Amino acid sequence: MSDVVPLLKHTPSAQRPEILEAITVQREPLVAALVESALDTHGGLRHHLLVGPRGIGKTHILSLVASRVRAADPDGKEVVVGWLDEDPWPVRTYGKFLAAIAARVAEATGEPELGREARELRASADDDGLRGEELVRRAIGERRLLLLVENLDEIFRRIGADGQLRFRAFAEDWGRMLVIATTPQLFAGVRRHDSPFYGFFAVDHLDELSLDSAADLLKRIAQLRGDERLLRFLETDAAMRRLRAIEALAGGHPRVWLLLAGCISVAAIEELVPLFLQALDDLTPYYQDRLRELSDQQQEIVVLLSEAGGALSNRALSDRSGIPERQVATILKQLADRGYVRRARLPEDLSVGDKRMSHWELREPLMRLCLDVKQARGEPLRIVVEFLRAWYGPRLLDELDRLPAEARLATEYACEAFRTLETLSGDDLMHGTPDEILARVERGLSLQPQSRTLRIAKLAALLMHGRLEEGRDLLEELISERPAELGDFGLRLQLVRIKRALGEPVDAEPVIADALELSRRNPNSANALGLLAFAYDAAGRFEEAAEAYARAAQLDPADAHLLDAFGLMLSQTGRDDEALELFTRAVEAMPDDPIAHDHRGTALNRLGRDEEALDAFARAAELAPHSAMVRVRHGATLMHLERYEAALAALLAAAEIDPAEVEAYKGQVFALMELDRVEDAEAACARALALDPDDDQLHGMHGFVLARLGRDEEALEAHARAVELAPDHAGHRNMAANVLRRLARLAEAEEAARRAVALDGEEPVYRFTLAEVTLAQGAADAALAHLEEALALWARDPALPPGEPELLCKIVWERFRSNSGRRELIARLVSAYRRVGALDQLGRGLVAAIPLLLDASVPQADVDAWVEDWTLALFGDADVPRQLLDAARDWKRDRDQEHLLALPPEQREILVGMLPR
Amino acid sequence: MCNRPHDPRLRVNPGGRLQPWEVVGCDSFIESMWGALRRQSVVLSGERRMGKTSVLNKMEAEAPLGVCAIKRSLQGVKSPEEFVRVLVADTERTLPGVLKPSLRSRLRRTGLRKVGVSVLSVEFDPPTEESWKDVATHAIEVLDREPDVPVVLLWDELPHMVANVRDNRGPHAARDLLDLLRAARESSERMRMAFSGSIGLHHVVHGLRAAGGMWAPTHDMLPMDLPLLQEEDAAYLARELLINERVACEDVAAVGTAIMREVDCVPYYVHHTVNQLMTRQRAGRCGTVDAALVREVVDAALADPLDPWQLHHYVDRIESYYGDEADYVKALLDLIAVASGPLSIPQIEARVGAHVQPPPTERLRDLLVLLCKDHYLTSDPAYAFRLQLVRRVWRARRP
Repeated sequence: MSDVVPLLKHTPSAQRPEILEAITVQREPLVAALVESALDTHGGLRHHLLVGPRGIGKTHILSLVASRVRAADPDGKEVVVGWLDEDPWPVRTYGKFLAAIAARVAEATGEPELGREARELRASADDDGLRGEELVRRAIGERRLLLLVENLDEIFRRIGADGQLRFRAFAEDWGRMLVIATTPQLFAGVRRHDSPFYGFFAVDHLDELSLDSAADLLKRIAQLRGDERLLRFLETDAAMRRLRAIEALAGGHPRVWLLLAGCISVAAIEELVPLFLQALDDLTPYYQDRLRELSDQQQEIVVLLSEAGGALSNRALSDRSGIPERQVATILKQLADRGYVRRARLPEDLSVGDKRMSHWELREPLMRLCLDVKQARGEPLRIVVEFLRAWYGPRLLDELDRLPAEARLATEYACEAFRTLETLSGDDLMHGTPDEILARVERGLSLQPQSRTLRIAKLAALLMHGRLEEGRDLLEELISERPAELGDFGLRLQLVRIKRALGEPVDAEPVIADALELSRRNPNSANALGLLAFAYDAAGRFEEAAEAYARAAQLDPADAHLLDAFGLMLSQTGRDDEALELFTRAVEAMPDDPIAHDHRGTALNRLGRDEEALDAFARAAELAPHSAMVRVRHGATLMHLERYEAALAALLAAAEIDPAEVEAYKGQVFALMELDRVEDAEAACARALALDPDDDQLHGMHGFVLARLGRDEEALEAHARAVELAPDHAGHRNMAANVLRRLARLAEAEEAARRAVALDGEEPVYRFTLAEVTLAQGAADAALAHLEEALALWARDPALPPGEPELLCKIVWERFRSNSGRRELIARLVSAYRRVGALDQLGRGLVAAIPLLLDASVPQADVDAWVEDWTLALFGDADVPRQLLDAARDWKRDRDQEHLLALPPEQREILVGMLPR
Repeated sequence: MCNRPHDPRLRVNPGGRLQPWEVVGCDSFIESMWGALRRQSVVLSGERRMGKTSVLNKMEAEAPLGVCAIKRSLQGVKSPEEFVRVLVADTERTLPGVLKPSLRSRLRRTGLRKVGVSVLSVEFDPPTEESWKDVATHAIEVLDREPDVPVVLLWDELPHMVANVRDNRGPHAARDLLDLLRAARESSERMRMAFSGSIGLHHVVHGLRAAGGMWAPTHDMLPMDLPLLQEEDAAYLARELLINERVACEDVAAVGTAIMREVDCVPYYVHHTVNQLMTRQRAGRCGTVDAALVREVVDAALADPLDPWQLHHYVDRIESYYGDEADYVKALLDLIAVASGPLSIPQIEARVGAHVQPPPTERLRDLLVLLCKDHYLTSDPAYAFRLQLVRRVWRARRP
């Protein structure tokens, strides 16, 4: 990624204000309030103190405040901004503090004489600051000084108690200075009741970024850099899942997110490990710097916590460091104030053990991983990131074929409706849904039964509806009335096309012959050549059609209908790039034609350019507000982009436009399932089935939805119906196999899975199912053989997770509990997954199965044996799952919180979420 | 509910300097201050953050016609000489040129060779321990006699200055300073002083007094305690802040009243509470505000280990204020904190014996008076906590 806009992660004060504005997330209300305080020169002085650890965005906020105030009052007529250096080195006394303020005022007001006086003051021994006070008062006059001070704690330390007293009195007596200051932590100078600045400031504690804000930040950075691809990706659920994994390590520290943003790309987020490893170059010195800011003893405590990984008690820290416990408590308090450590907490009901003990851990797990000096560079980080990626990644579980089906369907929606919309025209009759058009036409026909126009309109509506047989009959009727008229050439062409679509025998030669004759007589007519092209196209003679289209388009490059038809033909033959070019030209020629936009959208869709497709469909929907199918395609594209809420809205709109549009309900089912609204999805399925009871896909979807609702018997019926309607559809049989396995009808499940594999031997998913079913039958060897075949197929294109490791672990746990061969079986499972580099996924499955072990009815000995078998098999791999498994086992034994606290926080959170409560 | 007009200028400002019109509900008190000052000088007392400084600022900005008010924070002043510098500076700023000729001629007669008088410096040459006294006395004399109108010196944080002088120059210098000011008041015809400070002047004076002595350098001044706001003023302030900061409330009047009740009508905590509500709402951490949320926010502030309202100092400072008698004072506050209503002296005496060995009744009375002066208690005539907030903190945080 080109870093065309360098982000100054450590010195936001040097960043251009417009860049800072562009990457400001979450802080806008605060910034706006600060600016308002500063500019409210007739109101009171609302002093603010921003508190937050280094990197949380304090300087960023001050930079924005300074730039906005300067923009609002460029000549400094009302407010003069005096922004002291971030590093307070020149300030040793109150007098020098005043000299520094005067220097900044001189800079802001451009008064050289004042600058000279400020320099003199700095060189003088005016420690009581009286001259400085007077200098600043004089320079500001009747205006207001907005004093921006960073590291106020350090400034206060330097000017001492006397200086603070003087400064407070100065601020009070003068009444023209508004102070907005920052500090990494609250300190005695403002905190203690007897300190001069107690209660002086409104204190704003800066929160860490929420996950949404962090995502927003990355999007803004992507936008700044013009990385459209990344921007689109960040809109997806897949990206959010990855960001959740990042958050588990990085917390909400803006600077860490900015550092990560420097290495971010679609691939880096998707893979995660490279992202962190790349960022390590920035992160390691950053954390090392933060460590250097601490005293020796503070450093030691941080390093001890880093080495431990998990939380440590004061006593443990004292034992390991040799520092007295009371002193350790003070150091921890200081470190907590500065945002380095935090108290490790467990939910109240899990806090069993010595409750008097406080446990502490590093606030950012990433710090631990970047500071880890014991192991190979980056290795611990890689291990943890790999596991978190797997853990927060998509889960298949019982929904194995969900994604491929969805992907297929979305494409199918686009294809199926592709041609029916061709007939949409601007005719007065032709607005509304096909049903509305039909109703309108029928009313007309009841008055003028022979009206040719009305019948042609009816034909179009029938075709839009997909009622091809009725369309064919009507066409034949229309053609038979005036067989010789060349004007009905289009109708004859349409008949050829419909018959081909219906798989009926058709003789296209007479139409082609007529068209050839016409073009011979009019060699320079684009229309004549166009008709010839249509004829070849309808007859399926695509090469000749392409040549005719090309010649026609050469003669009349602006004939949008011709370009559109040419594009359609090319896309039908898989030449999508060329088709897109033609559709684009058609759109340019007919910018207000919904069909051209719609076709262009579909072509973009097929080329994977979904974001552009969205725009095209949105325009088409705007131009054809009564077209349900445009909205269906819009919805399908949104679903591709994993924007399920928006997809659902589009599909609901489609169903509202045309309540008989099955595709709209089908799409709704997918969107609702993604949104976890399973009951609603079932209702949408039922509506769709009422409209089209013979759609096998719908029955398959219905079965899937019913299974999610735990209604396995009904689900099985639905899958059986799907298989009945489409006996060669492997997916339906695979779904049936899954349900049968859950119903413990294992022989039937095996048969169904075997049939699925027989129908599609290249699809790993079906083999995974077969492996699971045979494993559930207790046939370990056969199951492993199927699994290895499945994994080998999977490894060729590992886009989806490798089967359902959690289910495998569950079956092994349940079916092989007291089986002497279990240890070997587990070893072979591990080896199968290790071979294809998917051990992290097996580890995730193993962790996800932990709740089974913690059931109260399970004896401890069984759990011990289970952990031992896996430990032996994993043989030093899968560190994180092993640690979690060990902790779960130990916790089950005595329920002591120490076992949980000893885990690093990002892992503890996972385990705590699984414990019985 | 009062029907005072809406004032869009009132904005949340917990701790910052308020404009005179932002100081709500103090008008009648300020009027009584001016009334008192016509007769004698005044010591204004009040717990920290209760609004004393804001009252002085308002008095300076809105002094009655025919009065010249000069306000100064003496917080950073460490020595008598420095005090003289700020006195001279203020006099110069208020009445330019009035000091220079008279001071010069007068002081030359006393043997000082050079007295540079400017806003920035007063140079004493030779700088003897006593030379500041003549300048101070003369400056005050000038302030009493020269101007056409009477001058009122509003000196904030005076006890701080006295404590500083005591620490830097010893008790005798601090005593000299207070004595000089008393003498100046006694010899002045029109000039008045108003002292105020966040630490009790009585504590500083007590520390300067020789054992068993009766020295009372402010006995000529009228003690005035800054009262809490009237309920309707505090509720009005809360309401106005909520409206002006666009805090969405279910019923803004009810929320205003709830805030007033929760924070005992203390304007500083009214500002803080509205600030908390505003911050929470802007960050999306709460929805529309109601009385229950107000209670939650105040509870959270009291329970916050960071003690953002610094109420724990009411517990902490007992040791330093009451020294050897701290345990006894804590026992007193414990039993008053848990009592269901105000307690009379006999009731307190009867109950305290169960906890500690009680001192003689006279000493008990003295301590109760001190606890009132330190703003823990009120006596009306039975004793109770002055602020329910402090009572809540005392009960929750007493170790």
